[in-house]
Amino acid sequence: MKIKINPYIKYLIIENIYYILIAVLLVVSIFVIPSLMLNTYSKNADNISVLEKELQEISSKKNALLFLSSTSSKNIDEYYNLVSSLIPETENYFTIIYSLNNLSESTNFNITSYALNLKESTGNKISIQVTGVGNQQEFLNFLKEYNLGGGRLITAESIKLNSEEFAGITLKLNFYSQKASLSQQGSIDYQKVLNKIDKIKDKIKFNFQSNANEEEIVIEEYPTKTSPF
Amino acid sequence: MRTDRTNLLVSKRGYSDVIKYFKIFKITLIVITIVILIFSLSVGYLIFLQSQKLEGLTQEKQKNLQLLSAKKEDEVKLIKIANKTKDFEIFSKDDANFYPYYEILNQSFSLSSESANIENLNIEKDRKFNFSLSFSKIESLLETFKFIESENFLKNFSTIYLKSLETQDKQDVKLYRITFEGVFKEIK
Repeated sequence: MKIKINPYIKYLIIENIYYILIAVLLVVSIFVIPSLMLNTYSKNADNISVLEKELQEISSKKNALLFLSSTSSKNIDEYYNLVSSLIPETENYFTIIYSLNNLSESTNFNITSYALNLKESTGNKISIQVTGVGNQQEFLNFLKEYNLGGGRLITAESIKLNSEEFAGITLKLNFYSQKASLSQQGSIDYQKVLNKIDKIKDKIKFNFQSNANEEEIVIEEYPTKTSPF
Repeated sequence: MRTDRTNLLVSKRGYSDVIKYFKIFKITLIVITIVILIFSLSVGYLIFLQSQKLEGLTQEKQKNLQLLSAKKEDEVKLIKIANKTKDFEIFSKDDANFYPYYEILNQSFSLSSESANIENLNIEKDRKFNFSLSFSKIESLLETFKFIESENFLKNFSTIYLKSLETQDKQDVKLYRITFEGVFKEIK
């Protein structure tokens, strides 16, 4: 059955055919254009954010390296050697004994024996039971300096102080080793990292300096150990 | 014989309605076209700006990477240094950090009473502690109690409570010992 269209309506449709075509295109574009454009916009925004993070990381590295190359007093090997001596790549018992000896000399707290605590040692942590002799001030000096004073990172998970037992006090100290990884997690401000190491270095330097100053006095008070064995 | 006739008078109203609808349709169409045009131009401009930024960032990245490739060895060392520093921070958390907390107690009690003497002190890596103070005079004990309850002392602790109060006779001298337990506030 043929649909009968009023001639006037037919005339109006023909007269407005461009508007009708535009309307159809518009309906299609309403569904296509905004989603396409917004999709492109959000993709670009994601790419920009990823690139900015990468660039921040790269710039941070570049600036840190430029800073190191522009100052004659600092070089990357010095920083690398310092962190590597604090936390060596592999465990080295000699450096443990050497750092305890350093501590003993700088604080006057005389370490008399060491014993490996296998139960509490792990792959990258060596727990050592240390027994030492000293007066309250010497013991407190030791507690003040044991973290970095020996040239290695040392921690003690708990410390008991008994004012009556300074002679023959026993401490459990932890030494760490860790293979330096090359993986990068998150963005790192390398300049901040170098500043942190500078602070650590200052502490160690301070201890070494105080060692040098105290050396003469120490010799008079009690014989210091020059050999770790 | 039947002939088709158009009654112009009857259809006049209907036709004028159709014309009116077409007019509304045209205006709506123009408005929607303008809105879509404005939207497309704005988002298109933003996309254009983004593309320019992306291009700039990519160029900058390439430039920086070229600079770094000349110092590849140093870059590797720098990454290792950063990772070692991170390890340092992680391992340092194992430490009880005894000394500064001891100093807090020592300084506090030296201010509060001359005769308050820290007898035992135990600090764990999670800042939990217990300490004992001993006194030979009850007045000093009471004075110290007052100080312990003061804001000046309590500001150093997340929690602190009296665990025990003991008396002891030592060579005809009465000794008072109080033991506290709690958690220190973190020293940054």
